[in-house]
Amino acid sequence: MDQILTFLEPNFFPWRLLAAAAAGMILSLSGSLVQSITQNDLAGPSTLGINAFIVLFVIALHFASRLLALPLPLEWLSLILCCAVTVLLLFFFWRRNCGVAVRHSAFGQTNMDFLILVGLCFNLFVGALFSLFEFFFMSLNWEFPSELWYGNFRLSLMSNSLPLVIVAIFLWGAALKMAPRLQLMSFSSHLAENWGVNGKRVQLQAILLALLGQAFIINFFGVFSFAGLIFPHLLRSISFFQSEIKRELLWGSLLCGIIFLLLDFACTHILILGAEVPVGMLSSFLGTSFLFILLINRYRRRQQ
Amino acid sequence: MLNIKNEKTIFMQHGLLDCLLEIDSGKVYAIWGANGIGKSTFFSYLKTRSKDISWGMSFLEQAELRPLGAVSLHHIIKVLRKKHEEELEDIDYLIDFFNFGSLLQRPINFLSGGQKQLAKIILCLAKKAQLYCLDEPFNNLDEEKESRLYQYLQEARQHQQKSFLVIDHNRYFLESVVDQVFYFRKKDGSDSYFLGA
Repeated sequence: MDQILTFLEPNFFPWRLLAAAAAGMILSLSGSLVQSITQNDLAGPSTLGINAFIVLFVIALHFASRLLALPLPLEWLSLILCCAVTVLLLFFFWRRNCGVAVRHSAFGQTNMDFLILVGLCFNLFVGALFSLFEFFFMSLNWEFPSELWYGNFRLSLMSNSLPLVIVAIFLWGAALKMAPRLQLMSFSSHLAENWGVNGKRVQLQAILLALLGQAFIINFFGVFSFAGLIFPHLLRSISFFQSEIKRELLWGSLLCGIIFLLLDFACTHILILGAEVPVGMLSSFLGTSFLFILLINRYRRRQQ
Repeated sequence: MLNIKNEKTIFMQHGLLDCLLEIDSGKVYAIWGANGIGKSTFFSYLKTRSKDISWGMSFLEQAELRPLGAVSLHHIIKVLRKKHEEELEDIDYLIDFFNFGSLLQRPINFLSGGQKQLAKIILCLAKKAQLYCLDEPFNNLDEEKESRLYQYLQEARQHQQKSFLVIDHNRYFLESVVDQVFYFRKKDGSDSYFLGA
């Protein structure tokens, strides 16, 4: 019994490994969800501004807690507020019968590309705001979550890792349940609607799930930019995952969890000048390079 | 008989006035009109009202297929068989009829424009419905596939009493297969349109 208790102690149990694996799963699922409902391989939680939207909440809450001296766990408060606002916004869009424009006229495709451009601009805006607030906080000697922008798992404990694992399992189950509708949506939104799939409802559900997963990761571990963009592409480069979205969600997300775990393990043990490179920094560098290559390839395809 | 009445308030922004569109079972109707007159918009309207209309409907859109990943028609049929078995027509018959068997496993993104159009047509006709709304179904089809589609329309209307509402500019189609033509026309000197037979 003592041995079991020792094993479950926060400092002993590999919570970091679990957190990294769960985060990898969530990032992969979020990316797959967003890309399948938009039928656009440039779409992702980063490129659509979902991550930046969550970071905005974290910054705002830190600022508010300083001004109002709130003695509350900021991560949980930020998470709850972010999810509440998202649900309200989605309800508002639902009532107004809006949806992400995925119509495949030439204009419709431009709508999606424009949305991605807006998302990237929003990322830049929030990045600038982040720097501004960091400067402001540091000038006033206030504590600021500087590590937020480049996520890492150094502070993994049972209190933040276990909820993340639960969220990962929930997202996994929910995404699998949606898999047939997502398969039809990723093939053609018109076809899906013709066969009775409520396209707008599926889009809103998928965005909500992606945002929920990202909100958990960002609030407790920081931003892992562009990982949600890279993982689906990585999976679709393997023939096993190319044709069925269910495989991408079911097995692909597990594989990405393992990849992320190994990446974090490598970052922990391969130190650069004695310091650990945050996984979020690595994903940001790799992701932006990958986005650049994707854009060039897309331009070349259109020229042909 | 199905009556579809356009509501004035819905169509004011498109300039359509009240009119009556009477459709009988077992007939092929064509919608004809100049580019930009509102033919596809009319189909979009029908789609939003499809729950209020007692007939089962299936729509074929103009937009090109651009699926994510290397999905083939085979994978989509697998999903439809699993989740929409009761709503499926004999899809194997459709695949044989349009000679699509050899292309079934090929990813849609690797198909030509005409082959993609055929895939769309098969998926539209695979749904059990009384009224099929086809928006320019003959686009990109070669002569052989066009004649197969004519043949299918005639067989379906005669033997299964299915109705087809087709947007097309093809004169041969209008003269050879169609029972009635609906002309979308602009009223002189105003933004409004009316339908005449």
